[in-house]
Amino acid sequence: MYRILVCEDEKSIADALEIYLTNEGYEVLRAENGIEALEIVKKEELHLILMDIMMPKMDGIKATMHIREEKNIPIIILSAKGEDYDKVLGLNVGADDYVTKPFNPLELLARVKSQLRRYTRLGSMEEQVKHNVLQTGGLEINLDTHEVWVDGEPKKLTPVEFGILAFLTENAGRVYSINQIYEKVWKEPCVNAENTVSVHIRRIREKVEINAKEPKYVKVVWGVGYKVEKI
Amino acid sequence: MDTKWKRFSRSVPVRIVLNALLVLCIVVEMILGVTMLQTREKYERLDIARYSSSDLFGNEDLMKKINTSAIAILDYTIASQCQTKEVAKEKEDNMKSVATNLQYIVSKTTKDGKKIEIANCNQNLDNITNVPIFALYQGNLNGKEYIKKWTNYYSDAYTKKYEMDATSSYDSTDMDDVDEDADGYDFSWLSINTILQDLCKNNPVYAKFVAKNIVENLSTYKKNIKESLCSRYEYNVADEAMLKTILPKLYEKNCLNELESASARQFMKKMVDRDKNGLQLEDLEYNEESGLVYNSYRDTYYDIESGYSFKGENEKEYKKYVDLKTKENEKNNALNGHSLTKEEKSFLLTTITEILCKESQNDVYSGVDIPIGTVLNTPEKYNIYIGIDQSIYTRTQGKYMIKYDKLKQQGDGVLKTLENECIAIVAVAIVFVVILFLLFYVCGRKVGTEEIQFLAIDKWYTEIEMIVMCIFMVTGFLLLFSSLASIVEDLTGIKAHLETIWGGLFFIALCLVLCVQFLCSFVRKAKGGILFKQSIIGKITSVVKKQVANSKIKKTSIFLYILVCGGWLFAEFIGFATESLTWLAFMQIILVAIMVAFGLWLCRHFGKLENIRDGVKRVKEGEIKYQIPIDDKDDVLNNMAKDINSLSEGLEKSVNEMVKSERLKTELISNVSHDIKTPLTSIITYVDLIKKEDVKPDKVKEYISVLDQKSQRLKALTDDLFEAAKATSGAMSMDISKIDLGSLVNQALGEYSEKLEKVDLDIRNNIGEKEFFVYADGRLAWRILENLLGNIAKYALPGSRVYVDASNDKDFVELIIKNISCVELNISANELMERFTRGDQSRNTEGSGLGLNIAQSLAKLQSGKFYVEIDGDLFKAILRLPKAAE
Repeated sequence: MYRILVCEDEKSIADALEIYLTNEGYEVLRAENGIEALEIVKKEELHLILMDIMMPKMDGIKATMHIREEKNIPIIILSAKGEDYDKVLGLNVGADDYVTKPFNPLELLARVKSQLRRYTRLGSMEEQVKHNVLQTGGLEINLDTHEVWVDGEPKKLTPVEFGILAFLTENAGRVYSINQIYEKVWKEPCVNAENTVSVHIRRIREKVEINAKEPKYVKVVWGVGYKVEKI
Repeated sequence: MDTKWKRFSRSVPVRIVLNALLVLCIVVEMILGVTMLQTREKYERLDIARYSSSDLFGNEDLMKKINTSAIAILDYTIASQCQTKEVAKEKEDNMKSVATNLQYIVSKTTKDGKKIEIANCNQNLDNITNVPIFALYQGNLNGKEYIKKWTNYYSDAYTKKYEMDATSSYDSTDMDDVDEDADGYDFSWLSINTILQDLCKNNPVYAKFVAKNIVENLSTYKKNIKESLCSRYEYNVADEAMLKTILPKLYEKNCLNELESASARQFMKKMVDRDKNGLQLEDLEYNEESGLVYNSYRDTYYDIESGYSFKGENEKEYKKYVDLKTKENEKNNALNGHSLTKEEKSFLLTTITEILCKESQNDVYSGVDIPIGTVLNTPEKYNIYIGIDQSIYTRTQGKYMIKYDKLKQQGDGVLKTLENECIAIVAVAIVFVVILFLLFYVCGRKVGTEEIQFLAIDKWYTEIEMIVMCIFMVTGFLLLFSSLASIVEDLTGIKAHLETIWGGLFFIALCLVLCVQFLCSFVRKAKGGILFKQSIIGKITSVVKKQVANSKIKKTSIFLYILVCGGWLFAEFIGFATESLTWLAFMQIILVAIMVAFGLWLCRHFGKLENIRDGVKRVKEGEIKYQIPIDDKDDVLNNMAKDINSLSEGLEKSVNEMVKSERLKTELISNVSHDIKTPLTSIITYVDLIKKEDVKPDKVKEYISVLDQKSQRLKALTDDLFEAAKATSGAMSMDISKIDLGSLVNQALGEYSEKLEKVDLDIRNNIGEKEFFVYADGRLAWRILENLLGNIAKYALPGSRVYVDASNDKDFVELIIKNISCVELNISANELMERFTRGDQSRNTEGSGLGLNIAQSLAKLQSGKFYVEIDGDLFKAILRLPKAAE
């Protein structure tokens, strides 16, 4: 049984979150501000923290920073602040994921699950040296078996989709234009391909990402091309 | 009336007529001028003055008769006293035969009171006062009295008639005898002195007699012989010693001094002539105190007689001479008034006789001024009357008078004509001036407009016009004078060159007409107010004014500049005026110094200017905290640098404030958004929770699904709303870079392919692999396309085609997306762009109505433009983004 700390000053949201998480079988602890959260983190054994940002006494960003000084547990920030700036800040101070309010409960649960999976299982996997496996964050691609896992969960991709994803993951962090991707994957000059690549990448995102509109791995660089984030 | 007059005066014929009249005037004036000159010439040729200005109206016969008669009378007078009776008789007969028709009486009163009559014409002397010659030699009659008598006579008979005024400026002083001019009237034909001198000449008997009379009455006549004796003393060395004793006795001290200085002058002249060292006459001076000649150049005194010389410092020697001179003076003074010794008298007699008798007195004047009294040897009382008979005067003079009268009449007639011609010339000149002013009045005007009409000539600069006019004027005057000369010549000589005269006159007239045209031009310019403007000086002035006004230089600077330039030029002028080379060289050095100083000043200022330029550039490039280095001097550039520094300070401040307000704005939006989103989160999550519960009755389920739908919509709405707020306020971070719009469109179409396929839209993408590089923020550009494609997916007519085109323009790339609306677009494109606006028909569909507005704001943020066009059901969205270099 995983223990999840919900750090949220708005009681109704905290209640709702507790319901969802309890329904899923997680044990829920609650804190109303950052200080309380830190205390609980000190005392209790936890597996994941859902952290609001705007809270009295100590906000979520500060609390995250303090927790990260000691613990490695996954932290998902849950905030009404949806700006890119906020997201970057949150992820930079040590949060593992960032979900904006109002959130889709299903998506949130998916993210929670994915984080827990990663936290509990991937640690042991790191020890095994895997040949021909590309990995970035929770994304693993086995080039031999053509298998794709996201946070330990297998995903089914078409050969073209796999080709694109593998190519981008292999060169994670680099941006490739549509033409380059086409030429690399299809192995022929790009003629009248138009939005073929884009469509495929959208499909990959839909399969790999929890929220396709806010991708974690396969990112669009608008007007330039696509890349896989190096995590 | 007014307009009628205007129309009349401004009509072209009036101007032409006036011009013609002007030319006519000039021609008439010319003709009159020539005629007048001819008339004057005619008058001059009459030579009236010849008669009116000579005595007796030039009656030479009468003059001659009077002269010879006077000689005969005087001859007899002398002869009767010193010659033998036979000779005297001979002379008397001669006198009587020569001096017929003349009236004369010669008488004297002896010392014992006996009156002796020497000659008498034995005529009635009652009328004698009427005759001028008679009045003339009445003893010692002075000039004034003579003139009076003379005038009396003439005034009765002629003076008034012929307007002669002999007394006007007669000088009565120093006139013992009248023999010469009385202001223009020539009396030289009759001179008693000359007659007496002529009689004595070569006649020792006469001379001796006269000399004897003079010596006997020395006290009376000494002044008459003074000049002769003095010149004798001066030039005849032999007589010097004797004269030296005689002269002090006869004359006062000053006379002797004069002589002294005269001999000193001679001595000095000789010295200068002899001297070979360039001695000047100015170096010598006669020292009256010592009677020596002083050479100031050598500081030496010279004795006039012996030539002995001594230095100026030798005061002892000098004093000796002074004493000598003083003694001599005293001696002479003592001598004055002493009667002459016998030898002296006889010497004097011989000398005067010699002087009188001497044939010629060529180079030096030494004649004796013989008064008539000496002839009669009665200094006190004597009478000589000589006159002419009235009858002979009338008889001989009459024809001259008639001739003169006739001439005078003729002359008066000519003068009258001349006067008339003069009046005519003046009258024509007045008419000319009047016409000229009329021409001035009408020139430059035109019927129907108040604007001044300028001619081609008015475009000339005023100065040039003036110069040309002056050239014409000078040419005209030169022609006038030269042709006048030729007129005179031709009129006195041959008349063959008349056509040249008229040719000359024609050119003069031409010059005059041209001058008038230039004057008219001036008047037109003055009327139009451009007389000064259209001149070189005016142009220069206006340019300078403009420059000065534009440059905004301080008045003191300009004043200083003018002062320095003016001062230098003035100093230079002084140098030229005094021809002082040193001064000019000095001024050149000053000029060089000024240039060097100016050069240094320029260098310094250019350095500063460069600093300022650099500073401005750095500030421009974003380094707003940069401060231009300044020194503590108070000059323009320093002040400018200071201003720029304070400007950049202000800029920094305003930028900071802007950043601050931007942050506040962003914070406000995000805070508000947070406050709205938090309850919305609760709503959405609890609706979701309820949805999962097994709720009864089914009706409630329906309600919950509505709640779910609407809460989702509320979420979308708030998202869009904040997006719009951020986009409009600019509180949005941007990362402008070079991106490919073609790729962006392909990516966007890829993202939306599913949704578009769902409504069966056929995308006609004409971009393909073409690249359109723009400067934009890729994410924001995607949002625009997202909104657009979202709209298309929602509102495009299912099954229709959507066209995507892009094109390069000069400065931007234009992306056009066209589709057919599924509903009627019953509002205008502009309204469609407003917030919360949707086609009425699409009110109930999902969407916030902010899409197009957000797209517009975002395009604007990226220095682009987004707008839509509606043509029936055709919906056309156009996005322009700044083009990036390839």
